[in-house]
Amino acid sequence: MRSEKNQLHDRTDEKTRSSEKEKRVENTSSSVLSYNKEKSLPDDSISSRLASLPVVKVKPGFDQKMAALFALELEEEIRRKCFSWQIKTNKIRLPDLITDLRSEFF
Amino acid sequence: MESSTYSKLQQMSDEEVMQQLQNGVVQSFDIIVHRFKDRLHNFLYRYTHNHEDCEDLVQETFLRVYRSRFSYQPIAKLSTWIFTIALNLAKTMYKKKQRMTTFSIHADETDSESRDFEIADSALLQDDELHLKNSIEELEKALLQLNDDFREVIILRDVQQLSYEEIADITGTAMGTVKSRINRARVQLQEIIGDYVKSETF
Repeated sequence: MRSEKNQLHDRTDEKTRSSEKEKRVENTSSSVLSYNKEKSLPDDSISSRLASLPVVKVKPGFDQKMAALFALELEEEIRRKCFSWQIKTNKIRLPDLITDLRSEFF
Repeated sequence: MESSTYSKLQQMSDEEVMQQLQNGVVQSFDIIVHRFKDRLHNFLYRYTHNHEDCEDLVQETFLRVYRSRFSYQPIAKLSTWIFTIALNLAKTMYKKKQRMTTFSIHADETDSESRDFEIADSALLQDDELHLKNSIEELEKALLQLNDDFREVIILRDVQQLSYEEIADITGTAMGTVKSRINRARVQLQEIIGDYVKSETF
């Protein structure tokens, strides 16, 4: 009877010891993971460093330059439209320059 | 410019503003420029590391956006479409100039004008400022040592914070390729600035 009791006791002891071991392993692995996450994991370190790079903005006069370029672009677009309209409707033509008025009126 | 139209446009999403531009509302272009100019400049600067080229590229990108506005379809995000145009222009420019291997890795000396930098913590001590500056320079140098394919994906992911899907669309590569390039780029960067990072972390 006694020996059986002892055996049981031993088993429970072993169980508790192994669970404690597991807990310790879990604790250490989680702490290592968190340490890696915080400190030395290369991907995270690089990513966070890149993300924290300062945003390089445009020069203060950029909007004005852009507005001027856009105005030119609109002008060019209108010119292209007019040109294509002229090609489509080539029957309508402006009169040629009259170089010698005398030939027309006299 | 009518202020009511402008304020209405300001409340719209990027895609809706683009649709307005397609419908002939010219003011929409201003809104698009306002929303994307700094993001584009930051991306292109990290890619080219040259302020003059970068500013030209930003302007050219916006003009291309306007010229090819009818080819945009709202199935994709507007930002993806604009970044695609910008990246293609940057690649073309550098192919023409063949300067990818010869441009300086130091700070851009051609840029004499004042420029805004957005640093998260404004209350920095002098030592911290110096340290931050060194850290930024190290990273920028390291970025420039990566090859083009790796540099473009890591900038889009880690600097611009775009999703893998968007990056795949912009670069015209498969999602798996994008992921592996990003990982390899990070490893390469880690190797390049390894000593610096180690001295910081341990």
